[in-house]
Amino acid sequence: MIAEIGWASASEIAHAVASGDRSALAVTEAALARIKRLNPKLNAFTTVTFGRALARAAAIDRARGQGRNLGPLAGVPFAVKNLFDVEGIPTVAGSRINRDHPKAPRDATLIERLEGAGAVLVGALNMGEYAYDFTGENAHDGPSRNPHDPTRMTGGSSGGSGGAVAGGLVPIALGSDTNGSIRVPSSFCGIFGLKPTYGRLSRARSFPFVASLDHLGPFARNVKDLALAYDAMQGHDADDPVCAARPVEHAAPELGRGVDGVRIAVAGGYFRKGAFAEAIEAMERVGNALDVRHEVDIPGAEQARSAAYVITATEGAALHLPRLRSRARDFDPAVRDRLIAGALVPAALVNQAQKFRRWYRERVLELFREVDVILAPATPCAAPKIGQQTFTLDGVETPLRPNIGIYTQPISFIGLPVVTVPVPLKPLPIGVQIITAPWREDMALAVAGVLEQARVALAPQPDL
Amino acid sequence: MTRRRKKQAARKPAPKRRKAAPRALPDPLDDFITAGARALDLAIDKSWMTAVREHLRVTLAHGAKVASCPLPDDAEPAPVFKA
Repeated sequence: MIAEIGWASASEIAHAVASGDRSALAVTEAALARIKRLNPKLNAFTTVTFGRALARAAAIDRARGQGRNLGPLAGVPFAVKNLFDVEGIPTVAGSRINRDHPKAPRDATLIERLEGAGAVLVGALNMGEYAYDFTGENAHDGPSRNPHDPTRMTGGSSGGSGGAVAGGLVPIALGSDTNGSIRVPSSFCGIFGLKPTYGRLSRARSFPFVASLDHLGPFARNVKDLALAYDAMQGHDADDPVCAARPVEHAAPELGRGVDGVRIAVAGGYFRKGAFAEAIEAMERVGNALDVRHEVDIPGAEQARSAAYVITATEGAALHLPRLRSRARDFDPAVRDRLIAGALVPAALVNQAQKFRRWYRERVLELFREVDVILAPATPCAAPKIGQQTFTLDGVETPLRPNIGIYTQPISFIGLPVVTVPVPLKPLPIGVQIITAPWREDMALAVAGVLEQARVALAPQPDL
Repeated sequence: MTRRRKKQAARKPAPKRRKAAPRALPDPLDDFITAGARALDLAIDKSWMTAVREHLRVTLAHGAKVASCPLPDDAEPAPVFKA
């Protein structure tokens, strides 16, 4: 029996709907009412798909009446970052410019797959413009607000996704992660996030940012929901040329296998520099819970972060060059000025960054012969205040916006899978990255499950 | 005025001319930005210049950090084209 839909897990909702304890329509109406009540405070949703959601929920209830299989996410409300195509609305990707785009003719692949598993799309979520953002602030729609303290950032660029899940507006949301945009909001909002291996989940019919670094993935408030959503979205998709032709490798059934025999190490060197006290404490709690005694130095991590920075600036600029020519004044100025700078970077530096990327990948894969899992902070600090411009990193006052992702960029740069787990520190939670070798999302999720069972990692419920 | 006073007056230094405020030297990156923007047909408003320059400076510094890592001539870039 579900007491409160707002904080119920996806698996609880699916069980209640499948058993007839709750109708999908009742669940959806409760979710829509909660969104209506809390969104003015959190600014997570930019579009709520009322009619579509109610129609879909009614169809699920009819299917149950006919005795049909409803899927593992039956009646589970979910929402997507507004760079996913949603049939019938323009894909704004956090921008003013894309509002002039025609309505999307078809849903993104990942929406189709979640709905195929029984889930119900209830809307599209706020994000940093064109995903070039770590804060969750948006010049056009206003900032996403952190449910644990609405004066603080959600993190970005999937800020609305973080706020919607942490605030109990939906149990599952989707986001994108180019340099940290799933992992940073997971950390600041105190929820679980999965950035899968590059090429694991289809990106078809989503608005890109940096094609060679873009990933899509889920957020949830517990590991089981994260795994269920991930499993439902796996599988090759010819509509995304990067999507790997790999078999579906379900992770949810493997969650209970524990960490016996799993070689876990903490990332040292670069990943210890600049961390605030809360990031250090979170790492200690996670390391102690897993009895980690080994530290590894990821070779070239600092240069990897720099190379990711260069590739992001230049590929992003190349994507937006026509819009920078024709509608520069319609961009968020903070995004526009970075993109213009990126357009001017000499090609030789980009080529070197791509060469370094291959070298670095080989070094890190060598490391994964010695260890199975690497732990690293997700962010250097807990959620800063909205509008904050600088922070003190390693004793130096540094611009905040481009530097929140110092620990996430070296990892996504080579497409490694990462589960970010929330450590419920007071007054604000903060995340830790669980990093594995390519295609081992199952292992990262299993480690997250152990931490959740020990209650070292859990999504704290905000007072809203 | 006595002759002595005339001499003293003649010795007085002329009133100092106010020095012009020192002009900020143009940043070498500005020429690069202006030429690059022209080549790419990008119009950069003057008020955006400071931010663009700073972003470019930071990005070039990151590029230099990567370039300082010696790689062999035959190192392949990460994306490999397959026919």
